[in-house]
Amino acid sequence: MKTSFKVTLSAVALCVLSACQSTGPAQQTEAGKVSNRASNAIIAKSAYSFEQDDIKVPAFFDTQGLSNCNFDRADENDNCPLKKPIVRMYFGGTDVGGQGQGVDALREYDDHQLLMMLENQFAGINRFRIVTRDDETVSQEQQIQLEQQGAKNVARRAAERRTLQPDYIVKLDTLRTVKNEGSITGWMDYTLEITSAIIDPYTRELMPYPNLGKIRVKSEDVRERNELKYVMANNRYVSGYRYFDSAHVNAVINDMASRGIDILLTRMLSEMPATAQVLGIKGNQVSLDRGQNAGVLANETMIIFEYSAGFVEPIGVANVNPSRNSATGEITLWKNTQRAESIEAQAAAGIYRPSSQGKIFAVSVGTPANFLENRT
Amino acid sequence: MIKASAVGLALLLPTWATVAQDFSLSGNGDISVNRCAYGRGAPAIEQAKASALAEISRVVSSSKVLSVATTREELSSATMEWLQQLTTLQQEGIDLRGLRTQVSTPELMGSDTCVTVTLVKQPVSKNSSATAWDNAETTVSVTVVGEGWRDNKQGISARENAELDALRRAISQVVGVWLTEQRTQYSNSAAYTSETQNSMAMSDFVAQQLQTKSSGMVKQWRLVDSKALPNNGVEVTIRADVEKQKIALATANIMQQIGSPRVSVTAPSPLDNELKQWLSKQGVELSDKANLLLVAEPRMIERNGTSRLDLRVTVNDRAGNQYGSWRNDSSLIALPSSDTVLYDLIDVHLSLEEQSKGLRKQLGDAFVRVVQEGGLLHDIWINSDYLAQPDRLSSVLSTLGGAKDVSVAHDGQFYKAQLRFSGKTGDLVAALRQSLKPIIAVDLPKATVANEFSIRFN
Repeated sequence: MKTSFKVTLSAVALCVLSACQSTGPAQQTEAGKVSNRASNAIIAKSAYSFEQDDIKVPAFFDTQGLSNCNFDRADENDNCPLKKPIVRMYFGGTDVGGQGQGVDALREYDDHQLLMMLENQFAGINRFRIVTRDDETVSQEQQIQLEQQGAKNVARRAAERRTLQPDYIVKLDTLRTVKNEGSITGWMDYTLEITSAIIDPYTRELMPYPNLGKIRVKSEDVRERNELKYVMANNRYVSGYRYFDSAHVNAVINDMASRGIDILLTRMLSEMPATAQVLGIKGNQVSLDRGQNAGVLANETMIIFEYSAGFVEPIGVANVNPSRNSATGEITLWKNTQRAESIEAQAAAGIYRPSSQGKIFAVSVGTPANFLENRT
Repeated sequence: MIKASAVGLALLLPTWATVAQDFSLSGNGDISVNRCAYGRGAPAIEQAKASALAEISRVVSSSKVLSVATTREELSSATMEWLQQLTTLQQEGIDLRGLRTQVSTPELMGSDTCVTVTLVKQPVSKNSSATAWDNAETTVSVTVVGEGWRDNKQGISARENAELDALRRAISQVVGVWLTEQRTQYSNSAAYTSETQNSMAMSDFVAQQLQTKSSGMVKQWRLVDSKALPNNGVEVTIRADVEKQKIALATANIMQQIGSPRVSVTAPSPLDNELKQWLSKQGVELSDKANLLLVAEPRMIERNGTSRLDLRVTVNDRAGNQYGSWRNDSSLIALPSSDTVLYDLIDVHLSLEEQSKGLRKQLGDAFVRVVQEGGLLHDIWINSDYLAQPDRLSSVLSTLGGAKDVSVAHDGQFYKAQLRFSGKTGDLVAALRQSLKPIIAVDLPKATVANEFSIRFN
């Protein structure tokens, strides 16, 4: 009896196995379309618009080692994950090859001012410490101080406050192309592709992080097609968009580059989210241990989560506003879990202070909802 | 119990090891410092000794010794008292020169020669360490200890070496006292020397110069004590009467050379004027004909409409020997490029205390080096008609007191001799007339001194 049971079991097992083999190779990949559409900015939803299923911890949160941070800008601990690398920014050589209508004007594009704009925008999000390349303004100011404060003062100050030494180079490579369509009435169609590289200037290593991908901006994103139309007769320009005039072309390219930088900023904010530790929760009010100093922006949408033994337990979503060294927020929606409800109940009764076994953190979900309106 | 002591020892060890890099303190209170100097032979040994003495002086005055001693429980109260006394004396500015030191046999370490100098525990009092400089007296008496070992190469016995060492120390001690007395008069030299070497090393340096140059500094001396040292060495204690005026004159001469040699500035305008102004403020005498050249080469680093100054300054003699060099920190400041930017940049760079101090230190070092090398190079042209035995010219010049590095070349009608001489050109002319007598055919005419470093007997 026992033997016949074993035989039957083996037969069933064999049958199951052979049946599996007969279904063919696993399908783990699928064909995807490579898009050449213009890139778009992805921004965080307002904390007030979140729903239960949206409350999940975003990628790239970094909670380990936060206790090592001392927030001394000049001498931050190397083990602090929020240590801001010192960078100098470059716009890559943007040569435009070939001949054709509008190519010369495109080639004359001066990217110096764009670089200054890029530095300003990047400095504002507080993810890097930026060493400006605006030599002209800096030296001009030192010259004025030399005249007004004297050589001794300037020398002493210059010796005390040396130029920061960059850890990395942030280089934006741009690819500019132009094509014209139509015959008598034609229009120009510009494309700007931006990639960013973080380079260690000594080892020459291109750092893999943050990976901002490629940003494509087309002229149609910043100008109506009508505005780029022109009329030709006998192969000569008659009227319309002055595609051969570098000032006009600069205006279009500047707008495109500006849009590209905005998208770059939003990607940077997603790749390098702001992380802070929750000091306490009182009712719906949450108090964080760092603010502007850790790159928390105004109206930041942050996911509040408990981190214990390598597992994350989302608690809720909050709308956070920073001060210089701390931040406070309002939990707009509590996660519908037992743990979150327990914390909510304790916070409702007084102040909930996280224990050392179950620390609570807040991580931003990307660019704040109104950032593009208010800051770009 | 044993385990606890072992843990305690292990905790103490790292601290002791770091301190031990500077000096070592023996159980009976002797302080030893090991120092090395590049090169071989007596100059390297002297330099290493001077450096070790300076280090002992530094560690004693910085209270480092005391802080280490407090961690050592085995030290007796008498030893602690000696260390305490030593630190107090040094901090009061009293020279430790009079104290007895032991110098180890030199050891070769790669390209360096190293010695260990030990300041042995001994009774100290303020009176014994400071010798009074009484102008009414013509000599000053000092008791010093010298050590020596047999030098087979030069055929000098251990006792002779020990006596020479003791006499050198006697001179050094008197020089040290004189330097302290005269510090205000030679404040310029003192400023250099305090930045380049400390006063203890300086006295040794001057004593070394004096010993090679002249005898008769010590009027008389008598042996007080003598004892044998390991490896057939001898230690002697002598009481020496040192001639004060001779010491004073010779030291003043050396200090003057170190403190204010004449310098000629070679630099493009406007840098030359700026540097001349700066040098004048530092008390350095300027002369277009000086043998010592201060060569400054500015280079403008231009970027994006701004300029930085990269300034290199070297101290050379006219024969091309380099005695020192200095380079500014070009990263200090960038100013907008303009016709006058060089003025502004020089102004800012020389206004910065560290840079100014760095340049001054390099100049001081260079001047000291000139004296160390045996003085500046002098060219002597002698018409071959005057010389009966030109082949002996080189050997005769080599015997000149204070002359070094003699070389002779024949150039048409003239013999051109080149030598280092640390005294005044007039003294050199007088010495030449005297020493050339045996090899000249006719009386030498009056010498023409073209400049400070060129003497012609046409």
